[in-house]
Amino acid sequence: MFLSYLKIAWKVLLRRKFFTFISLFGISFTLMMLVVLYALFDDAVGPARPELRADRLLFINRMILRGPQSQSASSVGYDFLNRYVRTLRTPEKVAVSERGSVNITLYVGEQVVKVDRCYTDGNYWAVLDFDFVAGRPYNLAEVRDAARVLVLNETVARRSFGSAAAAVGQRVQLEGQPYQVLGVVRDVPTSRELTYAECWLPVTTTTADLRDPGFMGDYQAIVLARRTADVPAIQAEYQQVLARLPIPDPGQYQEIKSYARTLLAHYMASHNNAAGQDGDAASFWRQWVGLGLLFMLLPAINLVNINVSRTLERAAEIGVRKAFGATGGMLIRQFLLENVLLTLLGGLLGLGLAALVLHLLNESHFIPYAHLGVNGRVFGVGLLLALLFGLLSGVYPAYKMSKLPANQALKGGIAL
Amino acid sequence: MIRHLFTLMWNRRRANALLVVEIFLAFVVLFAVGTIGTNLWANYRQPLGFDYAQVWQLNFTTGAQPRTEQFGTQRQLMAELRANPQVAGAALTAGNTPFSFNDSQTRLDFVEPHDSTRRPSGPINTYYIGPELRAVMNLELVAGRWFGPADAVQGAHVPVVIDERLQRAMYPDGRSALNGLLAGNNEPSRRVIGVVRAYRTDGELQEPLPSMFEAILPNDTTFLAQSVLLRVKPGSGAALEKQLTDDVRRIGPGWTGTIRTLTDMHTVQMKMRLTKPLLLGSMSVFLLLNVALGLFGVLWLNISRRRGELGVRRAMGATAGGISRQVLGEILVLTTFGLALGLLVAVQFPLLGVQNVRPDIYFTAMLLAAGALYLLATVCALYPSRLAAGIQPAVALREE
Amino acid sequence: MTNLFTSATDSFQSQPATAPATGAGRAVLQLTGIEKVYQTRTIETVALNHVNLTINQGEFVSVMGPSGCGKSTLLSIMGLLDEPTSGTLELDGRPVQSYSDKELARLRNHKIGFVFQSYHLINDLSVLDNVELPLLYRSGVGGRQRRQRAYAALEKVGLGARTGHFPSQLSGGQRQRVAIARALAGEPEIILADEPTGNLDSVMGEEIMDLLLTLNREQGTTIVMVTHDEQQALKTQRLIRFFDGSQVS
Repeated sequence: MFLSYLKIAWKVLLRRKFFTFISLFGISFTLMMLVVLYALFDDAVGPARPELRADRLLFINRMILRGPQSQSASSVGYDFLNRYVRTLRTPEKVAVSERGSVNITLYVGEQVVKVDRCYTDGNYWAVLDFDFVAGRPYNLAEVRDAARVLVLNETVARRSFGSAAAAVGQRVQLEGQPYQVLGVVRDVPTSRELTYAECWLPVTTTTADLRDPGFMGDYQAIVLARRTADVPAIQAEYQQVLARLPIPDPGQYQEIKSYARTLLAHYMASHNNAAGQDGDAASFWRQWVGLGLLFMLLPAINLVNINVSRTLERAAEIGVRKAFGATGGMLIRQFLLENVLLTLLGGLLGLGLAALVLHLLNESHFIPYAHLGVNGRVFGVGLLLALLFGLLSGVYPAYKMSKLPANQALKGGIAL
Repeated sequence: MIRHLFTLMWNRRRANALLVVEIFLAFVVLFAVGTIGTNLWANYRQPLGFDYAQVWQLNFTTGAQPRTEQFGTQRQLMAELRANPQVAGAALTAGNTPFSFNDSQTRLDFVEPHDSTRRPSGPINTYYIGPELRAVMNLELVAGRWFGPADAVQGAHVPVVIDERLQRAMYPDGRSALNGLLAGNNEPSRRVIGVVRAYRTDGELQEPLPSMFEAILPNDTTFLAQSVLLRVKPGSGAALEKQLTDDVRRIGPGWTGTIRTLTDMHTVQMKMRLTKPLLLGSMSVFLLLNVALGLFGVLWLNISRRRGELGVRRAMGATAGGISRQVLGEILVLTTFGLALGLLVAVQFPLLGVQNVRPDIYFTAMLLAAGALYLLATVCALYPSRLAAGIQPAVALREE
Repeated sequence: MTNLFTSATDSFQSQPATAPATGAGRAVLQLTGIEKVYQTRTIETVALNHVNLTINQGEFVSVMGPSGCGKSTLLSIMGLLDEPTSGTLELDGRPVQSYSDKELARLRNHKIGFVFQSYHLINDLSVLDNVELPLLYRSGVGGRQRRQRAYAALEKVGLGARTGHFPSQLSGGQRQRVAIARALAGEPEIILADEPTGNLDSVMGEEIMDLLLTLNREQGTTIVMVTHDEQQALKTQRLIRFFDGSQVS
């Protein structure tokens, strides 16, 4: 029975090529858009290298001092992180790195290479999961001794030395000093806002004053929890530490606000000083889910519209089926199946299109170093959306179809 | 005939409800995109106020050097920069340079000159800059004067130069703001000495804010500006860049400098600011394509279903052109229904002032959206209407 | 009753109800050597084969013949809905070949009223709106006038009380009467009826037939009716039989 349903559905799709095309177009492009959007989202906040263990990572990168008249907000001072975050008891490890990258100039022989630089400590490489293509990261001892060593990303290494392997051990000039290339990592896309850089250096080689006791500065802490379940405990511990701290410049400020946020929460807070610990995720989701639904609604209505029109066109067929004893339920099943088949087909097409668009996006280098792709998560979401879409756009026409009285359907059958 | 079409479409409202809803949603999408687009365009058309083609930005960090010594080093650095034959001009500035995504905003009170009443301002972009900025950025002075040596002497008021937008905010009636006063809390008030066209460091696409300049005086030792805007001679490149950053390291103990060209920063900013609108735009183009195909499909199916009716109309004396016009007219009437619903929603935005967008932008967007929808509907109906006109009445009437 | 019919009709009030089959009265429709050939890729079908026929003003002519003998094609050609392959058709003494689509539409609108077997009412329009249809396509008729004339036509067919109904709310006989009112509203010289009782039971069919006969007798409207019903055909003044595209009597 099911197979014959399937056969009929297939034949119907082939018979009305133009309408099958319109439907497929609508479904596949809608899903393509949604999958591409999700892939962009996933690329920024999903668990991927170097934040492979995103569920166990917390980021402390914003410090807000608030008073009745004024408010200051900035990244966090190195000294503050050293003193109050490294000493947290719950985390497994704490890394400190420069918040945001700074564009600098490397001199490789006569060649001038502009790179985005990030100062880090030695824990950085243990907390995050960089993919080393060649060489190794700098270790704790090298950071302690302010060794002039650095890690490059693959593209810069290749541009400067021809290949990743060739780069290891080579010397470059930076700010008038010779540095040695220790390792080469796979490119980190700029959408990985908190870990992106092209060149990583031991924080101790900076000329900036790391002992500046100000709470504000240019650094962030990346905290690795032992287990995902420890995340709230770490957040709570950090708040306790903050609560005990004396407020700098109490004449001007009355409150210190800073949070240990997950990657997602950081992304959603997006520099909004008023956002709470979870980055006000609820309103973010409300907005985006609402927008997403609206975005799906239009093609869905379109599909319903076409389906209803086709239903009426096929009134004669329905009449015959009813006359030969098909029940309303059977007809609904038949048409739903037809629709789900259509949407699944459109879904697959949409995933293919999405893969193409993502590939083109990667190639265009619109997002530098992006390696967007349709991974398992994205694929699953896409397929789920396709099914939802099929049901959404199929139920009403199917219902309408099944309610068409047999005699009227037969009489109203239309030639052509 | 129009009445007839409205009657017909009204009587078919149940059958056409989904189509109307679709048109309504399409209008909402078009309205949203139109608002964003019109807003960007309106912003883009405002004068930028400066010229950035040959301008570089040098940022320096001062390392562990004690604060008291920093000012001397800075003066020395500026002198060396200006002495460089490749540098046409150099001006100190706070971090809120063009296209840097940094901003610094203050709220001040406008003081009415005759009765000294105070009126609070909105946020004002505030720039602490060296007096050389005007020459470096080619700012256009429209009234009064720019900072001069006389301003180095501390007076009762802090001299400031403002832009035309702030002048309009202070005096909406179009009076000149020269010598006008801007008062703050617990700080000396500012007196306007000059008006420039604009200085939109947030970029062309951002809603312009009123701006105000305060000069960094040579003897100022409270605020250390760590950015320099440099006008370089044409043809300057990596060599000059290396030379300048080397200068920074040589002059300042522990100092480092980084250089970016404003052209690069502009590109980066444009890309950032355009990503979302472009994404939205392409999504809505696709949505409209979808709607267009759907509309076309439904119309086409309707024509084959309505052959009898159209045949009768021909028999009653309608010409082929009349039938074609009718089909077109019908879809335009439906579009009008959808539009009416959409306008009900859209008009809430300027009425309630939901977003911080000027009402005229909303109305332009409504007009654009409505026009685009009518155009879309017309294009979709062209082929079906020709199809309808080509129906042979004799054949259509015989089918049953 | 309002003065619905114009002077053209008045001049035929004096016509005897039982006019001779041919000859007397002015020729409204003159078909000479009409031929209609349907061409498909493989075969040619001759629907009408050299038909010569004259319909005089005030006549009630019925056309009979088996299915597919070309009756409907003949009616379409008479109604200017279809063009003959060859031959000439004169309407009111003027040949209508080489008329443009616009002119033909005007002639249909002013001179001809149609009644179909399946009524062909527009389901989404009320009875009154349906009846107004021919006047809608006539320039110079205002909304008020349209409404009045449509009312009058509905009165004439006995449906003055159903103007606000929709076709789906009416019985078959009532629908056909609406269709006749629609044909009358334009005050045509000729009504072309294609099996007007074909979808109706005998009682309703009888009613429709009586209505048409009354119209012909009292208003002098020329009627050409295709029918399968011998009884009805015999009630008309002239009976034309068709077989395989040719007139046989």
